[in-house]
Amino acid sequence: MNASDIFGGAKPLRIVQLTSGTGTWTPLVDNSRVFVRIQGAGGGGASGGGANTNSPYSGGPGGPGGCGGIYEEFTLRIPIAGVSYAVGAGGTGGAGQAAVAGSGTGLSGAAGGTTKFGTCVVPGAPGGTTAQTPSTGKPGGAGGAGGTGSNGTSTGGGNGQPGKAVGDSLRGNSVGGGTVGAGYAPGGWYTGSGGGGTGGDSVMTLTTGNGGAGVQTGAGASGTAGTGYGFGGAGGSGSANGSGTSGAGLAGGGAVIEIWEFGA
Amino acid sequence: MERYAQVIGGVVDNVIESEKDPDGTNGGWIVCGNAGPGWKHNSDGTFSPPATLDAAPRYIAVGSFFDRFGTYKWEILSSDDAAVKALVLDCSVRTKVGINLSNPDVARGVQLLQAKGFAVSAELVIDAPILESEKP
Repeated sequence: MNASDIFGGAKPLRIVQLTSGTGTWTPLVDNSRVFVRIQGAGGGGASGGGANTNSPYSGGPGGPGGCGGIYEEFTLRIPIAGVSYAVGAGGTGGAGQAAVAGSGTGLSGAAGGTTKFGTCVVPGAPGGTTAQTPSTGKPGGAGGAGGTGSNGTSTGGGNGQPGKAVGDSLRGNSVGGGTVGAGYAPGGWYTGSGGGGTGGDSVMTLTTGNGGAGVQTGAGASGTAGTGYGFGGAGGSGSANGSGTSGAGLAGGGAVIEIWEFGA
Repeated sequence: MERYAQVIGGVVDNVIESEKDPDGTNGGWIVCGNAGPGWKHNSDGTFSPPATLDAAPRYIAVGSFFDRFGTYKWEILSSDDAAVKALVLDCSVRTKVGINLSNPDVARGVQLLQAKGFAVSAELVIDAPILESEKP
């Protein structure tokens, strides 16, 4: 079967989107020809690290963003009995962390759930990990790394670094780049925290989630959620100046199965 | 919508969101909160994330680790407090590869000691570079 067999200049009988749940999808007619697009779920963003409560205070690092989900598309014929499906949920973000004595670390985001349509399986993307490197993932953009909180009193929070894509993807280039951490006023005692990493994007990402901005003092910030499907969750920023809870990572986007049915 | 997980061998295999309980549809599903694939399903019904150490490991010899407690070293090693004794025992058995200062448990251990009244410095114990003479 090739593309012209399916399309033949005709419009599909219907286009169905499955955005949650599990069940059996049945076609309108037996052996119906379908073109299926699957956007896998994105990973959750990591939370920022808690500020150091010991003097000299230092801001917590930003949490990296989660990876964007894998995209697959294929054609097949489906019997009237239908095929089973499950739509993977987006990975949850890491929870904010309290300020601690020493080096605060955030919590990693969870991976997205697996999406299944018949025998086609699309695993969810990894969540942002609290290591200070871009979280690498399968196709779909990797999330940006979180920024690094400053030590002492001379510099503000760091920028997140661009994410990097691994493998082939229709949109494998992460938009990466964490949000700039707010600096402190030179000469003051505040210590900026690291900004959260940007969530990785996916083929069906509409807007990318931006990481939480680094802060000058107190609690860290969560970023802004992406929109669409399969986007990576944004990372939270660290807390600063010896106190406050770090910003939580945000959830990744859920998966979607889009079915163009052309009939027998 | 609620999040539901499929669990295989005590580990979350998949997670979906659903408006209604999908249990029995394409397998068994249970409410899973924030859990994701790879999380452990505990015997009490809760979920816990996979035990991974994200930061690069930094190993220090056990003896050198205790030396970093400075003047509190002997007080800690001879403490009668059950939690402190457990911490000392946990550290003492890690003779093969040493203690990984990047392990979040170490930071929690230092916090425990501080809560018990030992004014140990997290900077000196955890953040200070590991000297060649301190390596396992």
